[in-house]
Amino acid sequence: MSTHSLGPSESTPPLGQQALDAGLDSQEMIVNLGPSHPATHGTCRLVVALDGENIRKMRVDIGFLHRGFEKSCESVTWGQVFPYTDRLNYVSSTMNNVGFALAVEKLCALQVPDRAQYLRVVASEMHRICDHLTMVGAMGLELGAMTAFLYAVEARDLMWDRLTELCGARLTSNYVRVGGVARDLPDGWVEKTLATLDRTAELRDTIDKLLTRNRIFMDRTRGVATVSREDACEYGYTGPCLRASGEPYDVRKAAPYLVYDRLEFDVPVGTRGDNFDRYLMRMEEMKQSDRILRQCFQKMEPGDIAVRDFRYVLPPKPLVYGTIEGVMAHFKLVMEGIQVPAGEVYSYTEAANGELGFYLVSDGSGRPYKIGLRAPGWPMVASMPVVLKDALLADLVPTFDTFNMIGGEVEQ
Amino acid sequence: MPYKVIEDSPADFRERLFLPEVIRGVGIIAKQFWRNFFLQRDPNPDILLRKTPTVTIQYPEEKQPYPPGYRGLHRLVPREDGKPRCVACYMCATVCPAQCIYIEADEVEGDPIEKYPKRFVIDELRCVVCGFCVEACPKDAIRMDTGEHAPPTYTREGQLLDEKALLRGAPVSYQYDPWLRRGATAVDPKKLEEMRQRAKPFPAGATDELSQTPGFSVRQLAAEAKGRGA
Amino acid sequence: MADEQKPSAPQAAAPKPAPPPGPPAPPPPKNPGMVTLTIDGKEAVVKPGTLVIEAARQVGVDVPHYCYHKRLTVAANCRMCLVEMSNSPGGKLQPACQATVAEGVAVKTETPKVKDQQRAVLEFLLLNHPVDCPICDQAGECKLQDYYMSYDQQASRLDMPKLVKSKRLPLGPTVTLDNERCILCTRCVRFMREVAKAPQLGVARRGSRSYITTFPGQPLDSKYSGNVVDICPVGALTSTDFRFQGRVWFLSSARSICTGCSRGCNVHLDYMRDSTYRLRPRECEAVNQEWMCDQGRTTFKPWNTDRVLQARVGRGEAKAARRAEAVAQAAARLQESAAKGQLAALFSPGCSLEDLLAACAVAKGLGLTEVYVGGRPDGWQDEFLKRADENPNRRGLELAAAAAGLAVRSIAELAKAIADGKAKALWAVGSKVPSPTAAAVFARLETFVCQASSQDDVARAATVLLPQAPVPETDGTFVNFAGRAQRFERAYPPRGESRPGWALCAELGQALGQATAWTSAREVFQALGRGLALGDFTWDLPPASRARALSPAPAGTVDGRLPGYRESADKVAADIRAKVTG
Repeated sequence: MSTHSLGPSESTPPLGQQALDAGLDSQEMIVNLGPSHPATHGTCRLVVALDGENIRKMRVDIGFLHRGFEKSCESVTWGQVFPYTDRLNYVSSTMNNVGFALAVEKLCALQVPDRAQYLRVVASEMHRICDHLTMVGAMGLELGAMTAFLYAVEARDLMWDRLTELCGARLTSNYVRVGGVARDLPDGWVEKTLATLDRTAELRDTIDKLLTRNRIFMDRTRGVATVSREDACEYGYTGPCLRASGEPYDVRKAAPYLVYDRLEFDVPVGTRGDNFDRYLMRMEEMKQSDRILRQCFQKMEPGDIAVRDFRYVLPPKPLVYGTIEGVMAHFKLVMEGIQVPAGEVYSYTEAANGELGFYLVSDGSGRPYKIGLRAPGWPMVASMPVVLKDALLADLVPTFDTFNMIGGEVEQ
Repeated sequence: MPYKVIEDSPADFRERLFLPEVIRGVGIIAKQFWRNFFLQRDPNPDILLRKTPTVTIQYPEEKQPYPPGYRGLHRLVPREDGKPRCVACYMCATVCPAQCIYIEADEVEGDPIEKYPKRFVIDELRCVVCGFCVEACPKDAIRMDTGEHAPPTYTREGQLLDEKALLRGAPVSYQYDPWLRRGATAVDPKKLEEMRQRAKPFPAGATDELSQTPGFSVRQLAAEAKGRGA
Repeated sequence: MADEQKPSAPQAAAPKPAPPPGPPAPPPPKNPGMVTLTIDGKEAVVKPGTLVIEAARQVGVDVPHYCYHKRLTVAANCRMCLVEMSNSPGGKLQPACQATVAEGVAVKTETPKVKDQQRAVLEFLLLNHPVDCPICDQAGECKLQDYYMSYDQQASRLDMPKLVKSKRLPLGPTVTLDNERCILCTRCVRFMREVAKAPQLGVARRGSRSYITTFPGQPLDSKYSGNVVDICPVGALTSTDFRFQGRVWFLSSARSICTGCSRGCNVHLDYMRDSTYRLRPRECEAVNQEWMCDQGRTTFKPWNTDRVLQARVGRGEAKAARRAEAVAQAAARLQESAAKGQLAALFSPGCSLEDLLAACAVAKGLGLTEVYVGGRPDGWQDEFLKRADENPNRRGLELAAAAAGLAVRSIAELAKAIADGKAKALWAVGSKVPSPTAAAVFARLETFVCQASSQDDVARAATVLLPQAPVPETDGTFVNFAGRAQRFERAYPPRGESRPGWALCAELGQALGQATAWTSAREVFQALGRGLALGDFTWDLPPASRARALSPAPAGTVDGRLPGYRESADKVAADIRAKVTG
């Protein structure tokens, strides 16, 4: 893990630079942006070899947040995996829950009731807005625009208040269950959420006015860390980073899940694939999530919030307290877990950062045999040394922000 | 067209001049500033209902109340005679993903519930506040409805809450509870009668207690119960 | 009358016409001598007279049942095992536990009719079943729970109160009955009558008011009453001893042998962490079928409490020492007294074969020519399972001594030798002695090295006490009274400083300069035990089924440790206090 393993760089600086530096004796400097660094959120270690201000080589060191998610899940039952998934992409936890639940339901061939699907979409999109607000705010903060950060977290806090009322916790929502969701909407929640969305829209517009056409912001992010469309596809980008490079691909449109095929929304696509485009994707996606939420509230019908099947879902409390069948089913589900048929499945959803994939292997018992996770942030982080070659050190920070590496999911 | 191409243009002359944008930005913030400066801060803890834009809450003098259903500190729910509703069935200990609940069961004479927790220890430091224990309890004996989070302590042992520390809050009795239906010799008969009077039917509209369970909408159950004339 | 015409003698009757041809003879069986039938499409070839449920089990088809038990008579009262058979009159479903196989029958267990029947039976059984899962010990090994999830997941349709019967009725010293949970399969009644030969249970009243009861003035005190707890498919009959001790899905199970007598009943040793919670009989046709006596069920208690966990050098107040020191001291003392010819070795037939082989090897190395046999005194015996000799391994001790060329003497001779002054030093492997006065005699010896697992009088009399690990903490073999060698497997590692008997003997041997560097019981057996006449005994057990857990993949535990095991408030408080105050 020495910082001196980068080796000599082999790149040639631009011609003008060469002429100017011809007489100078220069040496590469190795700088460590260690895991504890305000800019490398998610405990990522970046070791850069600098030639002046230019990054000649870079090594990304991850694993500081590796908590053994995949292995831990092998020792708990299927239903107990949800708190673990909460902590993957911790800024948008319901989307992880949804991804996992969809994978298990695919294996069980379980059809979830409509209202549960709408509720999942509602919680997911609210978390998507939270994730994008975090990203935009952090980006502003690290470029020096601290006010944008404060507005973003104000909006995010209001969102979290609504999510607390819905799920019981701000960040670790633990809202989704195999076969549905855990709770129904509280009374009066929809009105409060619409008010919150209005306020979030105001704040988002303010941030937009402060950042998007600001010259400093534009100078620092336009044309920086450009990833071409071919390169983005090659590296395996998904989500806003891929779309910023011009490739129109969103799982919600390409392979719709839950009720996304009944909702009208647009998916923004960029043109250049630089930091500025990635930032614009997030801003626009927030608008579209708002649109999705309003449609969901209109279209949701009263109904079951989870499948009425004792093999997958805990029976309702009246039946558990009062009937032997209910309490037996309850006991079996808690003691042994859901008996998922043996098999393998890969299920993917559009999380805030891209395609979140769960590869599940079941051996027919109540515990996962193996869970494999495709983290959306992984290809972006892995491609950083290539993308940032010969960029300025100061460009590293906004690039890292727009790639939105969330340590929880990339390092699991 | 589901995919919308976002066109943006490089900075135009005015934007490149930079100063007009600075002034515009400062103007946006200045508006906030003057409003906050002159208007009295509305102390309503519900931020959405505030009439002024300041969103600060002067903690700890002002606190935002946690909503019902907030997963806070656990409590063991007592019955009206002060004993815990818990029958030490180990469901919560089994389902806890953090394995933070330790229970020792013992026999109770004179009460049809037969079992009670001689020791019930929750290690709040291990708890991930997921709420599974509440969902898994078949007796409505553990809830996370205290509306507060685990208070900080100076020592680790202070965070190990045993049954004495956890047994608190409003007692709960339901009409189907065994000690009410079959009688309990360990409870004073007058007290028992009193408990019977105060016992609730199983709450069909349980939103206020929110020991909700997935699977069925409690609202629907309420409607069904109403339809049955229960 | 003379002229009456005698009727003419009947002529030879016309040959009777051949009887009309009857139905064609059944075709000869496909496999002569056996019956061939089809169960769920699979062909089963079984002996004639086999029950359909057994034939199904042989081809891997599980037919759910409650009242059927292969070692009891057939009652066919639960109606859970009803299956479709092609030879049933009127197309009725037949109970698989009562119907015998017939040539060419097609048995179907997965048709909608059968499934409806299973659901209906479960619904009826559950109608009056109390909502007791949280307080019932059977949760986790309850056939009602298992079959409900597999065969019937319907919600209850009952809208009136359930029948109320007596609960937690102690039927006898070992069994508690809960009448509401009983499904009246009568397995217990049949067991007591047919296997335990003590008909102490019966069914009283009729219909839905029936209940299981003992007879007036006669509690359920048979010595085999504990077995009804094992065969009861629901939580009606529960063990009073195990009541509320722990949930079964946290327990893991090791294959072990009961140490109560020389029968060597095979048992499941259910443990969690480093404590044994209960013993249940394991199936072994040759030794104990599926039963064990009540006395054997209590033999695990000394393994948990009152253990010798620290070595000790010196009598009297606790002079705890580290085991290595104690072993060194012990070896020195033994060497000394053996050189003077004053050493006697007392081996207990409660120790495993490996312990005794190692001990005999060390004894031989010390120059001894005879060993004395200790062990528990004789107890009661009956014609079913219990033997009078309450030591599991007397034959093993005899074999081990013979293999090492050591003569076997009784403890009376040891008492004589000590009284005569011929034996001034004693080395005991295992601290059970048949005589209650032996401890006092040993307390007067100037050297008494004792390997013990329980804090008893003999252990207290030792001058050097070495902590020995009991049965669940080591692998080993017992040879029962009939010469059958049976293996028991280790459940959890030895507690504290205790070590298995063979390991302590190895350490002693090393300290004495002998070549006893064994690191496992297997090595001991390979080195010393292969020449013994143990029939077709193989030391290695077949691999255990996955995870040793009682219920498949139980939640909340990875390795059988109770959630929250890590700290209990007292322990943490003590630790912190110790750290804080230094």
